[in-house]
Amino acid sequence: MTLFFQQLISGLAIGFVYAGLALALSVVYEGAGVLNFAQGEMATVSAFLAWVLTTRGMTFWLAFPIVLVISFVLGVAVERIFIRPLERASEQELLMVTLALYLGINAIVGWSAGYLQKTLTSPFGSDVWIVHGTFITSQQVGAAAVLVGVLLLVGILFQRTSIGLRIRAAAQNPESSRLLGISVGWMLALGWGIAAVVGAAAGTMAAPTIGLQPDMMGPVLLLAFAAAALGGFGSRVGAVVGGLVIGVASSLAAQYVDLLAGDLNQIVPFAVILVVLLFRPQGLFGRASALRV
Amino acid sequence: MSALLEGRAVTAFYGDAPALQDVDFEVNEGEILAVLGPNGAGKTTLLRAISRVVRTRGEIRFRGDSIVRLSADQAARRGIGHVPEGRGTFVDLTVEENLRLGSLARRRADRGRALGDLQAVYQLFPILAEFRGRRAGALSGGQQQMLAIARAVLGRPRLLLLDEPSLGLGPVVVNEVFERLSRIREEWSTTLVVAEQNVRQALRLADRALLMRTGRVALVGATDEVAQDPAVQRAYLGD
Repeated sequence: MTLFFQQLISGLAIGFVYAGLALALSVVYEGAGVLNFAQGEMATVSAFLAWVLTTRGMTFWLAFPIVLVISFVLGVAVERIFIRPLERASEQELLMVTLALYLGINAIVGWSAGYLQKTLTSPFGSDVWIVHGTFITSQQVGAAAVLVGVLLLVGILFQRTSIGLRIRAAAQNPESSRLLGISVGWMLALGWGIAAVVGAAAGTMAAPTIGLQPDMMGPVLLLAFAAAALGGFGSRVGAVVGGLVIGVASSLAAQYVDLLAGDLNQIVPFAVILVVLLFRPQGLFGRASALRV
Repeated sequence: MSALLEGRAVTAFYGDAPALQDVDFEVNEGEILAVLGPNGAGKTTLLRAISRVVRTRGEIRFRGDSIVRLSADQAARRGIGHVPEGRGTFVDLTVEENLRLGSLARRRADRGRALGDLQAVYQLFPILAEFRGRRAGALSGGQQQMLAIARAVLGRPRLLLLDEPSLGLGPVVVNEVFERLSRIREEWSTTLVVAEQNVRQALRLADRALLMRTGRVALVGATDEVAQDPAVQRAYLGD
């Protein structure tokens, strides 16, 4: 039983990272109708920014908000520069653009920071608590707490503020939004900015655990895709729930299914995607509509 | 008296085909203008030209200023409300969220009254108050039409364009919608342009009518004159 809780805790801890990235994917998907393959790499850039600032002597808690602000600006810029000019492009073309961004950003990070793994020191220290035999680290608790905070703030922003209402409206019905005086283009760009901030938080919080190198977010992105598919693309609640489920499921599968303990653990997200597509293509929280990938 | 809205030689294309050809029009402050004509005559394009959804040649002036260079969202913030064909419902938002969106277009000076205006709208359309927490997509066609009108009115437009408000509605609901439109003119000091295929209803509501045919203005005048016109009699009002 102790083992079970141990796996549950580590599954939840990484699950919040998946949830964050899945939420970022979902926000962009709702607005642009496209899966942003570069979402993980944008988060990698943010994590490296945090590393650069902290190794130059800045305390983490000063660097973190700066990283979030820069990530927001970069997210908006990516939309304005690479997505906006393709306003009338098909989803396939947009998908190609995000794939190109994925490769491009990955190469730039590798070129400027090198491929040797670096360490982002955990801002939460290295305490370990033992609760009824289950090990819990301060990094796990701290990262989860920060990510819960970010997810809640994003939820409030979308559901309770007028700017959030505008972004949702612009994503849902651009023509009608324009007739109500909403500048649709800027609302979609804001969505990219918010997605970048959530991704930055996820990447920066995960970095002390998963290590800092250009490909660090690749596997996370894969699992975030699975999480978004499970929750329903475009559903923010679904993305978060999906992330937690995928995190826990992978962790438990690694413990209890011998075959899935090693590299084969990567099968779990694909199995989830397959099952979801077969039995509930719109995901747990999605509305039935054409699924565009 | 200078017109609230004035169009001169307005031309618009739909693909390669001209949808409006050299159309001149005027809308006076406080009036209701009916835009009549068969399908494809250019009624919708005329409204979309005014709200800047489509690009046009020629000149359009609103309250004395040229608006041809404005985008649709800028035109909305200047005070041009538009209830589009198909009602433009935000189906996944609640009724109240739909209405809150309406208030966003209003000018700064009107912001303070937004809450009072929402109550006034709920009095005008009690069904919307009752269903305020529902998903807008779950409303009936008539209710969505009322929602669309209410949403546009909450922007406190100086000029409100309505595209086929009677489309797909039963006669009882059509009467209700048209009765609300004349109340909106009185109580919200708004000028209305109503594109309609339901000629009888439109002529009863409006002060003046503009008849379109293949992208041109065929006839314009006070409603009783237009109603007496032999061509209108034959095509629309004959028994």
